Amino acid sequence: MENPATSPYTDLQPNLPQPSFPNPTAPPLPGMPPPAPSHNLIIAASIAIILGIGAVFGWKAITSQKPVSVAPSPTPPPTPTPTPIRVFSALSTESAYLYLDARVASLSASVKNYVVEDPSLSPPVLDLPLDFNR
Amino acid sequence: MKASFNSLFVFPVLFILLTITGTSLFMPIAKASSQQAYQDYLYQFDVYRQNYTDFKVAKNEYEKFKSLTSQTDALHKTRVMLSQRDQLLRAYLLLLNEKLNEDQGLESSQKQLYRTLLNNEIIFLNNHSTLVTAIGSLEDADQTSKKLESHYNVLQASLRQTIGGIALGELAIRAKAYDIALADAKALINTYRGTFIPEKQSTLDRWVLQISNTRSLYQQKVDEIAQNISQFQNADVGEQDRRFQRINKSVGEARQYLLDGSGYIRELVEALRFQN
Repeated sequence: MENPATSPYTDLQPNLPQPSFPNPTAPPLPGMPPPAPSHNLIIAASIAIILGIGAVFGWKAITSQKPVSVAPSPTPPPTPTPTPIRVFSALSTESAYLYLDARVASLSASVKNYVVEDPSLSPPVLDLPLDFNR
Repeated sequence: MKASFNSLFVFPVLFILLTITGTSLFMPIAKASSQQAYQDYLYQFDVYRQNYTDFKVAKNEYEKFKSLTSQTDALHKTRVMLSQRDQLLRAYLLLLNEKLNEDQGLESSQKQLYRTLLNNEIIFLNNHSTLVTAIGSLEDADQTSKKLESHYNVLQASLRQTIGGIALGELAIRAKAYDIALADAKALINTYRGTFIPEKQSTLDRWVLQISNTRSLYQQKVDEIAQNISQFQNADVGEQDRRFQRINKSVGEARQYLLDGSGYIRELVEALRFQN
């Protein structure tokens, strides 16, 4: 069903009698309560409030925007840094050296694994006195 | 024919299988002596805890009712507890003895010193056990227990000296490996002295000196530990506790020196791998 507010045929609707509303400017009839404030005033106040709130949000949005910073791109060096080449020494393939290497690895592991306070050697804690009350 | 042919195969196979499973069931599992001694010590400790609980219950009953029945029960439970206490301490001394036997770092004279301490305590406990079996009254039980109480300082000192000695043995094994590794590294550096550039050679010499200095610091710490261990016998329980804590701390520091030094040797070996 079409929304009458957006329908293109609103101008073609028949001229039907409109319901009457109380005139806000006419004096109140005797015994009747005073009339409500003007609708125009209410609408104007609402629009002013909405505009005010919108202005506040807009101001905050504008002030929170930070300038966009562009990261400087590094300038590539003209030539790459060469990796130093390490030459193996004459003794690196000797059996004595390899044996020493293995021995030092074993020593490091042995020292790391040594537990200073062996819990299995803790002496028993005994409550010695009998303390008979006779 | 077929049945006899099957039986020719079945029985030998069965025999082989039974032999394998039988020998595996009855073959003793190889265990280090100290592990066996430790299991025995734990068992004796469990039995002692149970006996001590029974003794406490019987003692409370006697103190509440003061009847002859409760007195007899308390006497019996006290005798059992005191006997098990001696058994427990003996099991612990045997554990320390096994650890000493397995140690490979201590000199034989040092080992003999600690063994003598342990043997003296075992003799005391054997004599004490004889007194426990002769207990005839609660007064006897009190006096017999007091004999152990008055000797306990000496017993504790012997135990702690031995524990400290075992720690020194463990450190000595590692220090020996350290010395061998350092000597091998020095020999290699001296053999190939002319092959390194002078700057690298002086770096290597400096590092060797640093490693030797670390070894000296370790030795100072070990000497300090040995001196603390020898001063246990004349100290009371509180002083023994403090001394024992200091010894454990010093053992940790000595281990740290060895750890640092072995790290330096590692770096030295890695540096020897390359020419530059």
